[in-house]
Amino acid sequence: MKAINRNIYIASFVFLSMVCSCTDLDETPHDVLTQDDLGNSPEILQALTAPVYTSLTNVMFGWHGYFDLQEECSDVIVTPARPNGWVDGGTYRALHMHTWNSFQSQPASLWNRVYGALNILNTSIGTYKNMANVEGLVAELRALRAFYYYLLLDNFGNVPIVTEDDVTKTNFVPEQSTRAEVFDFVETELLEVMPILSKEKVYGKMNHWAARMVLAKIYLNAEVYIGETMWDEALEQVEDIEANGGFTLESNYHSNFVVENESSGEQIFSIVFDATRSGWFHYPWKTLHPSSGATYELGSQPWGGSCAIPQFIDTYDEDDSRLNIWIRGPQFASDGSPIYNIFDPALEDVQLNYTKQIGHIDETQEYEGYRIGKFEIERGVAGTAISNDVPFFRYADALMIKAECLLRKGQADAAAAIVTELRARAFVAAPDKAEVTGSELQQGSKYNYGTYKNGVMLTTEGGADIQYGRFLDELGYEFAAEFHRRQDLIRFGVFTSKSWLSHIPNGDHRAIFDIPQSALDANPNLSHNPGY
Amino acid sequence: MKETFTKQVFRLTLYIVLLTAANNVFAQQTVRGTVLSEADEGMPGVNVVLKGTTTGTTTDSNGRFSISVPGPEAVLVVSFVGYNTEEITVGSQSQVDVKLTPDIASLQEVVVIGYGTQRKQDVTTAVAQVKPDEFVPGAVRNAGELLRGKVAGLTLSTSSGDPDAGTEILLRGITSIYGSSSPLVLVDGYPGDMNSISPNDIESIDVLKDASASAIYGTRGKNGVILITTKKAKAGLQPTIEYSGYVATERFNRKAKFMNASDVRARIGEGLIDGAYDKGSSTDWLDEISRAPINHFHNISLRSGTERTQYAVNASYQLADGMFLASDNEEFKLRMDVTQYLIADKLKMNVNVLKGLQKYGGFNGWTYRQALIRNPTSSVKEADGNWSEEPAQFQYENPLALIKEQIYDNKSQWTWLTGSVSYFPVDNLELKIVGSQHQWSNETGTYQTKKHISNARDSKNGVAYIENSAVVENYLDLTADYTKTIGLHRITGLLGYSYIDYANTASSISNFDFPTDNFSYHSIEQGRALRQGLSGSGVDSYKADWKLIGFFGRVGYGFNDKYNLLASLRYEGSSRFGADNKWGLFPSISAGWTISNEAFLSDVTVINMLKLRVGYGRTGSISTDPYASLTRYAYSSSQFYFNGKDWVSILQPVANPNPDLGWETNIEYNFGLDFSLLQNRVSGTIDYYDRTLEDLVFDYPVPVPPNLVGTTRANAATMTNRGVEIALNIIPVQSGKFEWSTNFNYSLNKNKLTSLSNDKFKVENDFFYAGYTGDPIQLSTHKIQEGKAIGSFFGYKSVGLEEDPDNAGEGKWLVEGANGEIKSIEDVTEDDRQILGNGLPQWYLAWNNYLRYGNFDMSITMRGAFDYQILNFQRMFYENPTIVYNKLNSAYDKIDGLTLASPQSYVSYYIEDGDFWKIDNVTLGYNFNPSNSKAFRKARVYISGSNLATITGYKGIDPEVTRLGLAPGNDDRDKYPTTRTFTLGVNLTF
Repeated sequence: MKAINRNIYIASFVFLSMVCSCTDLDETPHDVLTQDDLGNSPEILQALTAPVYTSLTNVMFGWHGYFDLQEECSDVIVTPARPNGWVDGGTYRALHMHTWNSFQSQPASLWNRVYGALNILNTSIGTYKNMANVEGLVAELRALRAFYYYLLLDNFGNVPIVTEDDVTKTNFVPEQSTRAEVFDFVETELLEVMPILSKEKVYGKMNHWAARMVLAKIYLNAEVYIGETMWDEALEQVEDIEANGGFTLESNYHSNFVVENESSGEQIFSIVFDATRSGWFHYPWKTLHPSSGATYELGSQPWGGSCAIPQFIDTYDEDDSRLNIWIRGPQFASDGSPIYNIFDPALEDVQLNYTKQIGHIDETQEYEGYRIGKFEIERGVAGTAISNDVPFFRYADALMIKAECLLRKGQADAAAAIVTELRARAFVAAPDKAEVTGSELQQGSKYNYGTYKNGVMLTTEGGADIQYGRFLDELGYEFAAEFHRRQDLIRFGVFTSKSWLSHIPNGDHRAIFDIPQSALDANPNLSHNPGY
Repeated sequence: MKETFTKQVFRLTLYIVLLTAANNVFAQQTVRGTVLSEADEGMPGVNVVLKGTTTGTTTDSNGRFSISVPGPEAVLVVSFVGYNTEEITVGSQSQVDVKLTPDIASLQEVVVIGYGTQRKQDVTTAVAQVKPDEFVPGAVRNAGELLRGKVAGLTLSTSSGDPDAGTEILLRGITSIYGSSSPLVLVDGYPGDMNSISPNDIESIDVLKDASASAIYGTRGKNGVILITTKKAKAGLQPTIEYSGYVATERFNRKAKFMNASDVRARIGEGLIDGAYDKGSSTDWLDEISRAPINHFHNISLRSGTERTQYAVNASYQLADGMFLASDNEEFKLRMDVTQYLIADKLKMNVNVLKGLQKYGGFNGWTYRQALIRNPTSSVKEADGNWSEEPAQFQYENPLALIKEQIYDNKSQWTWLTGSVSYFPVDNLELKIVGSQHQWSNETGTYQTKKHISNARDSKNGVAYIENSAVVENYLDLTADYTKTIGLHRITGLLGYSYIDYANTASSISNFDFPTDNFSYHSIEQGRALRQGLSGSGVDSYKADWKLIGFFGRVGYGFNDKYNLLASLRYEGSSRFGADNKWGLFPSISAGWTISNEAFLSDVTVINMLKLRVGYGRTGSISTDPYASLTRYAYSSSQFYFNGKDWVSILQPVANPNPDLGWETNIEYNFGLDFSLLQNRVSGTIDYYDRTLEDLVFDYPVPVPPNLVGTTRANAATMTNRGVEIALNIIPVQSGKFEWSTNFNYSLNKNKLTSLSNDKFKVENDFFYAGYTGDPIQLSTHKIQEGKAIGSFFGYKSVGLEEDPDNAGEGKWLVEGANGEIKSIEDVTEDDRQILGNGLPQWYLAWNNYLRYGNFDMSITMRGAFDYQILNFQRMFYENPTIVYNKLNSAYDKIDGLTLASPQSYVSYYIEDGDFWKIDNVTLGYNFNPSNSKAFRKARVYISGSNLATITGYKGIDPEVTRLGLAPGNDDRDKYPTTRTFTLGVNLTF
């Protein structure tokens, strides 16, 4: 028995000593990497840097993305209440009515997505700066960073500027900069890197030409951003692109927006989408009526509601083929059979017919409103995404910047020649309508501003008093549904002064969004934008 | 190390078993005898040992023994656990009959307190014990339902009627923001859930309510602990077979009153609905997808014990159809427990094996929703035999086709293997080592055929999905337990070490576009979508693991059964905590004063027992997933980078580091009073508690840059729960033939979120939103704000309707604005939202009655929850004439004389008082006289009805809605309706 006892004691001792050494609580994740796992291999560095580009897909078409933010506060596109919903807590109404506050989701999404990308840019720039033979890459990343700051400059104005030097600081809390400081930062950075930036066109990547477009954009809007006009500086950038960039206008306007649009000669800087490999380009689902799934053989039923504001449609010339970016009229399935309304039992046997007329922001019929079909919808897509790339800057944009600068500098006829060139491809069937004159461009807008309900104008403001309003109209035709409209309306003084559909002006401070509440909550150095 | 350990245990076990076999006995003279119990029944398994030697024997099944003794001076020592030991000098007798008397001290009631038991009279903490005769009788889905209304402060609700639905358990209120508020459930000391074992296999359920009781469980004890003790065989138990079984059926408790075909036609007649809506058929869609279910339960157990060997086997089988088609739940559970004493009882070995199998159906709330909203005038099938579908309609699917055209197999199984060795080196000291492995796995396979809406509408052409997941947990516990009584002093001590590791792995495959339906999900590689990389197809795998290591100790001291003190300490570390905060210390101390044992009360005969208790404890909980404290980067599975030539993987930061991340803490004071009066006819317990919940985990907004992502998970929020619990037991009638005992349980809890911030992590706003209405309203439902209770509804306060000038007789919501002004809902801003109620009941009351008249017994359980509101989602979505789907009959009821014309909106009109009083269970049983039968020792038949009646003003299906999480009181429109159950059962003991 004693032997047994001894054995048990020994065994117990062995257990206890084993056990007591077993207090190791370190963690090793199995499906994510920790900071220590990263290392410095080229594959890892590329993968770590890659989100600076892939984030663009989320910036643009992530839920409540840049597209919605730029278009739905404008006079072109609206997401009204529908029989199938789209009240969504009033978020689209707030965009249309300009009643957003710091809690508004779309500006917060932009802020979060952009600063997420900036963070990675800063880290990557910091890493690559200390490596040899990567000056070109560092310049590319700095230019891309300037591009993201341009988005912030345009939408929020007074934002914190954070660079690669800040990333390594301990307890660093960003300070808010003024809009002018952000402007200076974007300009200085781009001018600095411009000589190093590659002129080679690698699809989807920031290069010399795209950087010039960013510069052109900030100069074009300099009056809005910093209170002084910089038409000459803007002109210089786009003329360089025109002379040296080797870009060409597509003979067919719509070929810029087809599924395989990467071969377009107009692409200066494109966001590369893919139905299965990028962030989701879901817009057809957001705009189309559920029945329209049969038209495009979509593998997933659309749930849409976004549509054109009728007053904008009214400004088009009926022969302008760019009107075809709007899906309108009676709708058919891919086999040619009619498709029907579904929400109103009284209309179940009535063919779905997208009408120009809509009700108002709080009520529309299911068939009302032209739907947004600028980007070709590929037949038979399985998920809820299409593969068309999105040209953020295209050559026509550069030409229109040139035209606008010339117009504003008093060279209206030269401007008109450019506008005419662009219009020519839209009026192939009626070529005599393509031409516009310098004096026409100096006229007001054809847009019949004022509030609208069910096809009836409740108030009339018109657009005749808008300086260069006709040029604004041209920007509208060329870039409708290309997330241009908010910026253009601001520059032409319309954004906070005119009414459209149910919208009435709600203060000049609306020309920039408020700093998102989540950012204010996170950083005590930030304060609301003026007026909010 | 784990393998080494397992091997060591195995080797040691083998060694001990071999050595014990080497026993020798030398025989000279034979004495025979019988050992009888106090009831004059033969006692099997009693030890009969020749004093001063190791020679001995045990009695047979009739209590008889025979032993060889050296001569007449020999003394036999007859001993049995729970009985006083007798010594008999043999003398000239050749036949020795011994009657053993029970040892009163050892029969005293004990409660389970974690790593041991405690005499009930010594209890100093807030502990409640529920024994099987108090369990809710009749058909229960899981062990949790046994406790409904039985423990003050413990609220259990099954808000769903799904046979495989779990029970929501809440003890002393909401205790966390992101983490769970549910108590730790331990089955024989190891984590399980209420469904792990058969409800019939439970000996007792003990609830450690306050922190002074649960602090011994350290970082797992914050929300309280429910200790389930399974039935074991006792020494001296004759082989006993028990059978329990029932058959039950269910009916919907209440049905949502949606329009039927004739309602629709009547509305068409009134011009409220367009005539085109009438499709010519009459279909009761709810009826189409439901049935009259038959549920079975069978439990059989075998238990037997001698003094040295005890075993128990329990097997149960359960089949519940469920009210809805394809919502079946089938379970099988087998548990075996063997205990053997060895080496002169110095060593005790125990092996326990549990195996559970479960198969359940794939019914989901979406199907239920489709049945409610489908046009009752449309047909189930077309004339050609195909399902009638309207693929163009948005989110509109034939519910019967959803069930019939989907194969859904879901199988879980769990295996618990536990072995322990106890060694008793000296009297009163037990050294124990327990090793256990728990395995749990789940297999899911689904296939939607080509006739399913996924093809009829979305052209998926057959959709298959397979998912496998597994959890393996390993446990090692080492304890040393010491108990000693020296005169009036009673000392207990416990020292222990606990090690847990856990690993969860999972993988899944989804694919579609199959050449044939014949393969179901069994040839998933045949789908074309995966090969083409189409969205909606893919493969996925996952692993996460963690470890938890604790050192603990407890001392108890009692003096003269008047003063008791209990103190415990646990030092525990988790791998899930940050590098700078891996370990925590969890102390507790409690004291009790049994005033009734004082001399000055000895003459007060009205008081049988009176005890004051006070306790303090600090407990924790782990509310973070593994790796949460680390900087983490993940490869995206959905997004890739086009580098100009190719699509390559991208790495994205997913979490900021927080080396301070740790446990959530509960600091709790408990004051209790236990009393028993009037010959124990009136007894009860009153507890007051004050919980301060600190270091609650929240995602704090941080600026990006410099941080990698916009929030950091940190421990900074604080909450309080204060409350009172009263349990009162009364025996109003106790005559020979008739007995009536009744019991009231009352609890009140006041919750307050004190702060969301601390010095390091702050929020600029003192609130955040929680809960969600869902599509298409898309608003948060609750506001969680500092200084307020969790659970506040937050939205627009409707005051009536405003007539639409364009459409006479129709109106849109008028709401109260931020400054009290009345405005149209179309003009509101977010600032106009206000607090509209709270979804957490402020107080609960339960009333249990047990009656016996002769051979009849009856139990009645009633309970209620009070002072809270419910957001009635079904009304919010379907009591609205503007929607195109089928709606509630009440949708056309006029409000302020007007017909509602606003789209579906979240306004206070749909928030209702939830107060209810339920007749939860009534059971009537008859006990047969055992003497009438030789076949069985006990026999009882009973009928039982559950959820029989509800008194409430609530218009929805059942006011007992979800109370967990941050959005309590949301009565989800897709919720499986609760049911009323009728049971016929029998209990037999052989």
